[in-house]
Amino acid sequence: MFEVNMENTLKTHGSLAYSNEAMHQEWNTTAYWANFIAIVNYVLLSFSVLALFRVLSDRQLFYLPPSIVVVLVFLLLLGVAFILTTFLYRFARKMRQAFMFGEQEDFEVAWLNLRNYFRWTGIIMIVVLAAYLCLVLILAYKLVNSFGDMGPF
Amino acid sequence: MENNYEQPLDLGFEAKESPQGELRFRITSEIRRYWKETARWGMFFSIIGLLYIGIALLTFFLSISLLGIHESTLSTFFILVALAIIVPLWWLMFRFSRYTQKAVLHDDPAAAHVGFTNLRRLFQLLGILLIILLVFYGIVILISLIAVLG
Repeated sequence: MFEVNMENTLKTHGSLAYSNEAMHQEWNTTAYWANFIAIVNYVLLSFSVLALFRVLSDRQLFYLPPSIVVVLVFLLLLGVAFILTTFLYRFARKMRQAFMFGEQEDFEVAWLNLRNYFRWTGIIMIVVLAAYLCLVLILAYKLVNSFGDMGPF
Repeated sequence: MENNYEQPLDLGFEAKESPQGELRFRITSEIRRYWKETARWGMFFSIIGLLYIGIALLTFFLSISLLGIHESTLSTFFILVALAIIVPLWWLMFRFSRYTQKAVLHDDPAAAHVGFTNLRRLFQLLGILLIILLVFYGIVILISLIAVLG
């Protein structure tokens, strides 16, 4: 089994067997911008957490505290955003380490993290779209029922 | 037969140098698999983006036809700004996905280069949009501070 996996991993495919200098320049710049985006996202997320605590603690500023459901949904969204940002940050960091130390393993882990970033963003997008669709269907159902309650004209 | 236990376990797995001394990474089947899946999700995002562009255009034309160009100025402005942001992102994502899939499928380094150029441009554009957003936030905070203190 190990040998088969080793063979698969070592298998090279013609002309795309090795990276080249032109690709390295593109990946380097991509990693630079991904790092910037991830760090800004981390800062914005920490501001959001601070804002949440401010809302929860300051009863004078906000007359009524938000309901527990709203707080939990907000925390869930922050958690999801944090995980996605971490995938992006790891991609950037591993790619830069790969160039710095010439480590093949870092190079592979970098692409694994970019794949995870795209995959989980896609899954969350599907969940959000499904939630929208459900909401539209529920609203349409309620609208039809409310017309039914009005009786014949 | 002499066993050489001094050899590192990852012998042959490290990145190699070209004859000119440049760093080169091996594009293993694992990396190809990651690229392929990333490109597939990218294609999914570009399809969703295309749907979004279609809905935005439909809203734009509907608001003009129902309200007239003068009454729908504000909504037209917001839709045009949204389109100006979404369309380039969608185009770069689409090209990255298409060319990376092509590169993996046909073992084509030229297509891979085009794909990764588009990925780089996509991240650059996202970064620049983020900078614009931060500057905008900064201006809003500054105006609020001046209004409160002044």
